[in-house]
Amino acid sequence: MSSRTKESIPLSVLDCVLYGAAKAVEYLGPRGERLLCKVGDGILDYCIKAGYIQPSGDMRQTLGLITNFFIENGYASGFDFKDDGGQATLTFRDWRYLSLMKKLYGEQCQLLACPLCVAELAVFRANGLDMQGISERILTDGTVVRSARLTPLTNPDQVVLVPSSTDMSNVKASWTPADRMGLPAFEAVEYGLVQGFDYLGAQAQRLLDNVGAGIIKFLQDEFRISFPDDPSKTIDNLASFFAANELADEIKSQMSPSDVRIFFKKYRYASVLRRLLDEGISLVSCPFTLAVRASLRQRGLLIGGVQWKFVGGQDVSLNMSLLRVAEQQFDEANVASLMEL
Amino acid sequence: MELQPDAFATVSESLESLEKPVVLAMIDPIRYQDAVVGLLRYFTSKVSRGIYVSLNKPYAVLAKSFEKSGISANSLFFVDGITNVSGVQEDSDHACLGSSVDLSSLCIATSKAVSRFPEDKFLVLDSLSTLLIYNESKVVAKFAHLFTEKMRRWGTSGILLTVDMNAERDVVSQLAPFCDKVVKL
Repeated sequence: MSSRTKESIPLSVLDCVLYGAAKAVEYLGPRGERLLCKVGDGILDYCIKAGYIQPSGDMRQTLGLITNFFIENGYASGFDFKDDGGQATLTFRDWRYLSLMKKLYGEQCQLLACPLCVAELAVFRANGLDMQGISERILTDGTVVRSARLTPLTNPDQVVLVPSSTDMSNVKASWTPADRMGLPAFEAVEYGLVQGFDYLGAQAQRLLDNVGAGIIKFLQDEFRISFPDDPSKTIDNLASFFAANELADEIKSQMSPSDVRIFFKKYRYASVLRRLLDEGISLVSCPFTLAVRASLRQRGLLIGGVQWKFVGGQDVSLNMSLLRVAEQQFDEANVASLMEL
Repeated sequence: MELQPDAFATVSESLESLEKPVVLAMIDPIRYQDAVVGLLRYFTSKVSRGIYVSLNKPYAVLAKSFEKSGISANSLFFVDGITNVSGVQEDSDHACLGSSVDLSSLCIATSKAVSRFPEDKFLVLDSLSTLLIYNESKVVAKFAHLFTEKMRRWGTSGILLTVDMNAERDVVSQLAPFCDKVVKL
């Protein structure tokens, strides 16, 4: 099934998530790429489940299909892969990752969070191969040429990234609503993020919440979103941004001392959410929700229970109960006495 | 599964000289499953009974995955704080407390599980990272401190698991002095 005819979404909504993901695993150094590669596994899984690509035992065919999926979704206008005796040359035309790459490189983060790349890396690794970055150059027309060595996957932990000498002075690092990509690619990344970390169990939400902290930084840096001390105003600001950037047609929020209620009209995350819930996965990767969780935590509020409800089509309501850090108590002495055998 | 022997070897080397060790295991997220299996393999080779407190994955999922890795789930009793149940459900191999269990109830259920088995045993808490989703780090540190204290009083060895993340370092630094060893896996 082709993904070409589907809706599109501003690139900023995807890039804030990719940025958050890269920053959340940056502390692992180059090995953080291994976790991003797990997101790649999830992207592939989503594309197969949604019928966008057919499962295949043939590595080259799978690489072709996943590449085609991202090209159909406008993530690049062209992509070539040449393997010359273990030396691979990858050419990206109109690669939509460039702005984010410039931002990450500018922050000395060499991790490659490009969804096309992590999905391809996942295909290579699933076939016992590894790709080790050698060099990267950007041609005057914006085409990116990356060289890498294809080697047998002997140590899954080992990751070699491209050295940090790429000249990115000609790359623009800004996002406008006109910079768009296909919704299926956004959905694949959102699903991949959850599915990729799901092996960690419930604690994966902790990693996803760190993605949320990265999303906040991205929005502050690139869109000057303000995060006032009043958490309800912060949620309003986030709701305005994400509604303007088409995560939903409308995002309404209501905050009380005990909970936060959100209503999403025509929520573009709805199909991912439905699939995750159907699969019994309760982790959340929606960028707005992650940013809300992270901003509340920064203000001494934690999220307890989370309840999603489909109220028709793509309209979804979310209820998150609040726990106040300052009010949390654990009476060590009393509990200790109750634990006596 | 390729990393299992490494995790087992690291654990064996780190803990061999310690009797009934109380360990804080900081686990690289990339190798979490393998590291847990390595730890269990080590402890089940020393002690026949284990009590596994899971806040991360339902006991049924864990039991299946441990069996697949060659660890007999029969040697483990699960205290499950994640499976959705309406009230506390107990059986010969598990106690399900419900997914919104509070820390005090978790402590009491664990001590009850410990008292079920008179033989030598070890205790696993999986994990501090999950507790940190819903609790402030100071509260989690207090809770874990009580756990380590009780393990010593009960004469059990034990492992507190945490994902090695920057955000977890605060709790780790508070807890490290109360453990015999901090192992990075």
